[in-house]
Amino acid sequence: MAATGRQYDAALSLLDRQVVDPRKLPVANVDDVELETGENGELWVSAILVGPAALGPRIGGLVGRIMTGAAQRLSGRGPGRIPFAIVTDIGSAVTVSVPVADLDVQPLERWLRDHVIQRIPGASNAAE
Amino acid sequence: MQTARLATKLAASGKATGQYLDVMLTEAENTAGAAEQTFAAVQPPTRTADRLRGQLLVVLGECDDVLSQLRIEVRRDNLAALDKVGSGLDPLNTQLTEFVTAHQA
Amino acid sequence: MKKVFAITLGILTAIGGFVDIGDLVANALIGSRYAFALAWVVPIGVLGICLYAEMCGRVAAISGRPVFDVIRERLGPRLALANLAASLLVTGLTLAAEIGGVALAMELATSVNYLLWVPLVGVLVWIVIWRVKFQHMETAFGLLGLFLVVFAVAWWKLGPHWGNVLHQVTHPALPPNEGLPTYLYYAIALFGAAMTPYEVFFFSSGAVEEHWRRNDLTVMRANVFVGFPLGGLLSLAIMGTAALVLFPLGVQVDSLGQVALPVVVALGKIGLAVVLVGIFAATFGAALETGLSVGYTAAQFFGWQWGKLVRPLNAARFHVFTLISLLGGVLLIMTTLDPIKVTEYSIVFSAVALPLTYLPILIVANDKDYVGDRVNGRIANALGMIYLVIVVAASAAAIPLMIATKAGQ
Repeated sequence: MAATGRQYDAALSLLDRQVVDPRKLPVANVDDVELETGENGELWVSAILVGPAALGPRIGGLVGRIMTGAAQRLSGRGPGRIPFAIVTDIGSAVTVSVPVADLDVQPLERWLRDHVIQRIPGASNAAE
Repeated sequence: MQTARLATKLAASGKATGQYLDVMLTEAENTAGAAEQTFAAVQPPTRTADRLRGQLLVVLGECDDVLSQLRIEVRRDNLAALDKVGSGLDPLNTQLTEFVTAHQA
Repeated sequence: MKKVFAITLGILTAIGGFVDIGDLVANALIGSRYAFALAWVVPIGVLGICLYAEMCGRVAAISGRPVFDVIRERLGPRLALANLAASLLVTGLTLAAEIGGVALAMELATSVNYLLWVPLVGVLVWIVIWRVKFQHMETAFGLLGLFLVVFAVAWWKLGPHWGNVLHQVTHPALPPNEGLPTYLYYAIALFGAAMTPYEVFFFSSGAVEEHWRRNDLTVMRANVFVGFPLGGLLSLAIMGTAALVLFPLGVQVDSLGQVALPVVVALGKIGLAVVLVGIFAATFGAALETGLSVGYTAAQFFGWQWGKLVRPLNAARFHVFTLISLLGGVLLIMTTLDPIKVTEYSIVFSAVALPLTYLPILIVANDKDYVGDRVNGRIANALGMIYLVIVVAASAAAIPLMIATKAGQ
């Protein structure tokens, strides 16, 4: 099922696209890609990198550095990594086979959920 | 000023609520007060300008008095009196308009 | 039958939701100062928003992707981030203006100072965003906004000579003592008020929230091409009443009370009550839309979960960001900055930011990757290009004119 082995213009088809899980829930944006070199010197995409730590270097300049620095200091680690093996489809969005809840790529979302949103009454009810 | 006069006419015909008139008249009073202060703070460049400034300040001062009176009446819920007090604005409005047209150049 | 109902409801909410604080202030101010000499801008602005809203709705219905998501894919992260910053600034300023507008409407109804209402309005807006279902929210405030039809009734009741009005609209002439730069400045402000960028962010995100599909395109087009122009007629009625009552007196609108004044003159206390409900609904609805739009644009740029379809718990970053912007809007108005002035600046800055929003939409609406066979037709593209030129010209001229005319004095 994995969309490996096909040729893509990575810049056009992947970068900045929305990543969604099997239920179409947003996971993240493709902030950068991780490339690996194969045996014959060909490049292939091994992972999708997400989060401000991945986006910062692409923005560049002072803003980019602040973005990367802040993200690394807050989360204490590098960009989130989605292995390319779980990508199932590339269309107007990039679909992955693992539900968003099982992907550990949203540290800020989790922190805000546990420390802010959860404490407000009605947070866990759908709107009426 | 014209807004205030229009508001008092509305009051006379029972067309507007006291709350609405209160807000409108307070606004007009603040605007007139601000205009008075602006002109009062200006340093007139010539003797002629001195006289003009004097005339204008008198008119604006009178406007301010009428508008304060209007605000007092509206807060006392005395809407019937507004048109009568407000009619005092008519000559002042005319004077202001004439003043502006005369000294525009 | 169900479809007829959906179309009617959609059109009605589109009419009621069309007018916001920017339209109220701009149309009344310009009517009081220029009578009908700038009325020609309204149809131009309305056609523009119809054209681009239709493109956004189509992209959203077919690709399932809202505008800002697409902007980043097409412009790249750096330009899109600059775009995001500008859009957030303009939409945030509009949000503050709408909150101020609700508070001013409350003041006119109760004579309690608007500053006391501002925090309460902020809390109410937040509760609706937090708790109320998207469709209920849209329908309720859209329908209540229809109370603004009272401007049209007042216009008719004031009984102008319609031939004369038509002549003034079609033969615009500068009133004496007015300069051309100021005239153009207000033309741009009026254009910015009609084409405010948040409207398309909200429209396309709303389309995704409401799960529009390919076969909803008819309903969407009916909303846009019937609802928006009728909403535009309301704008004209606001201008028309001000032109008939305030222009002859030489009153220049600088408060919300004066916006309502012609209706009170024409229809008395009942008119006053109706117009205040209408203004409240229009500005409150727009406060919700701008508040959500701020969250939408940021979330769509970064790829966060957004929207009201999921529990707040599952869209933590979106809700925190929206809450912070709401707080910012409340604080800005609490500084006692005149909300009417904030409105005037927000529509002029909207005009400046227009190309940032509209250029990417035009590109994407022509991209088969997103819309398949539903790419723009020839007419849509021709009009789209013409509007792009207008929008760029307005954007470039806005700031120099603002400086030259001291913001329209």
